[in-house]
Amino acid sequence: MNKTILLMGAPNVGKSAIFNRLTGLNVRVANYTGTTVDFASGTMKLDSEIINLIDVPGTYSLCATCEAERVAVEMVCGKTGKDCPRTAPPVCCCDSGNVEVDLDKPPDLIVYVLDAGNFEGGLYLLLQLLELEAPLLVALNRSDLAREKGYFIDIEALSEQLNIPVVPTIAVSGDGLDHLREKILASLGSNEQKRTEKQQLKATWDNVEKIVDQVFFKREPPVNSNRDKWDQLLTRPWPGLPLAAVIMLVIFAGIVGIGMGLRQFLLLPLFRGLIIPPLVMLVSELLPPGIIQNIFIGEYGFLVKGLEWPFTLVLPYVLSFYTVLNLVEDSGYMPRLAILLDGLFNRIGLAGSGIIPLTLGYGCGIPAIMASRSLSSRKERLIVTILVCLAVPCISQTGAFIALLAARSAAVMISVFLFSWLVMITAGLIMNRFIKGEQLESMVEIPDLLLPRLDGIMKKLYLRLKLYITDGALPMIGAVAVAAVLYETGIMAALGRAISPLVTGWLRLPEEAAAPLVLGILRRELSVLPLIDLDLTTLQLFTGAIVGLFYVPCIAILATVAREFKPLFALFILLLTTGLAFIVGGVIARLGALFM
Amino acid sequence: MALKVEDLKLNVERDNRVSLLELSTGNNGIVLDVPDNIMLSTLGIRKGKMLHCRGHQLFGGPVVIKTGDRQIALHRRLAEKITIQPV
Repeated sequence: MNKTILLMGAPNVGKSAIFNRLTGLNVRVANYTGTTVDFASGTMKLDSEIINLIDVPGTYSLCATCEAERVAVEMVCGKTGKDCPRTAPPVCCCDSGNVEVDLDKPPDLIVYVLDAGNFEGGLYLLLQLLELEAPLLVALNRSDLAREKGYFIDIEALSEQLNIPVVPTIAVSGDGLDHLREKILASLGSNEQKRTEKQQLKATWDNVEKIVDQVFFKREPPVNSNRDKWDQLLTRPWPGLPLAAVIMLVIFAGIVGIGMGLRQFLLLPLFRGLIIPPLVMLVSELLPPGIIQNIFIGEYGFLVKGLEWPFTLVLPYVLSFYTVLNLVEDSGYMPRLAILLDGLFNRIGLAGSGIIPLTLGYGCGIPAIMASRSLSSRKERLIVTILVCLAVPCISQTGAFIALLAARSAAVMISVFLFSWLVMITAGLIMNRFIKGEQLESMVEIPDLLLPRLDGIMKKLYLRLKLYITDGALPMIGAVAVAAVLYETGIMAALGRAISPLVTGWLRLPEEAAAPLVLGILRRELSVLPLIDLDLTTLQLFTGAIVGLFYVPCIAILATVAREFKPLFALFILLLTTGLAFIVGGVIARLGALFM
Repeated sequence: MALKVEDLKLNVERDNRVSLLELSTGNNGIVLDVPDNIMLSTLGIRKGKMLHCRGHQLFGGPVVIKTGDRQIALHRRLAEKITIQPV
């Protein structure tokens, strides 16, 4: 059995960054608390020995206050035998190169990550862990940031005080990591802890302050850098709120602009000009004209639409969205936006931090629903999940909206987004009234503003791209292939006739618009894309887009909801979204007809 | 670093304790009483600690304070429960 190391510490101290450095794996990192909501595990090789490393969600103490923290507590409790609030068993992230982990076995070592820039706050949990007599090693991370703030930490004295090894690290650049590896190896080697000879410090704040007094020194007064000036500008209501509006606008314009540029000048010429024509030529030479040939290169031919849609319509926006999102995430701006909007968010039953999962939802709903775990109450999780499923278009669907609407009428596109926000606010107000839950009393630490590092951004973008190809583009090609078969065999037309009263009668769309309703169940963007080639009026475009927006949030999201909550809740979401899509769509078709 | 609460009471003639919510932007105060909450203590809001009010958010949003070098947003209801001595 391999040895097991837990990586622990307060939220947002860089545990995941250290984990990635040690294992060579890639779990998500960002500059706000609660990025790791499940534990991630991986292996590292030290001196030819394979060691399991587990990245535990951040926690401030051994009394858990939210789902993510409970996971952490449980992992230490497993070994200490102490009582702890057991909830759902911790789930291992699926994209982190899983290894078998035996959680009943005590960890062989806990690497405790301490943020040098927030030295005091992390000490309490460290003392608690010491009390449990867990084998410990401290990685004093972000030593660069501490130096910039004018801090000096006497590492030897700290190590002496705690009687455990302390290694300074800078995880984002990789400094000190070799030293950390050596120390881990040394600690694993000397199994007998020699701590008994010294009086164990009790975990009290008095002791924390005693340690701080002895090892922590500060240059007074601390340098008043530009960082502070920016912080004031962005965090105070004035000019923070107007600046937030400007920033959001720039972000939106940036995503759409960069995406359109990538499509127009890079991906469209590449696929239409270079990749698809030879494929079409090849197929038409190999296969005789007919159903089979059409499945490959006909109306829904999956070598034509199946490549054009995922790679020229959606991919550009995946790239632009995640470039911008990564920049915003790493800068530390998100928590500032969260507190600026906190008061307003309270009215729809959320703390301001609810903006983080909602924003992720504009990329993909699945990470959004997972990230909602770091919210402090069940009520907030339910509200965020319902809002994401209902009215937050994922980036694929946004790409589809842009393709469908932007060329015809930018006003319609903006109306679709404004309408979605209107529905989200209404739904939030209603849910805040009817979902039971304690009153929100949030407290959030606002992290330092950091200048995003280009290498970090590019790495995250690359991972996103890879994930998009495997989890986005490939299923989309498959779904288009299914569509091609349904279309060419006449099944689609039959289905269309079957639901045509709904489509032509109620939604007042042409009969062909039944196709997106069938395909939209598979993937969110497919509830919009087939509309592009139909000749629709502006009102029909708006109706079709709104129906697509509220319609079933793709199979994968429903599966995630069923897993995170209950299958019954997923069924409720299915009925809610489909029902609302048709009701609202029909009403719009009728109301719109009065004005147009 | 931390001042003893008792020392402070001797030094201040008039007892003008208020809740943290009433501390105005740019002013400092020392914590006299704080609800027992591990998150608060971890964030550095403990008896005897100096807090600096960075601002109040609009729409009933949180109070932003600084203690040491950490910046924290506290819900108004929570801020109301924290008693401080303005200095």
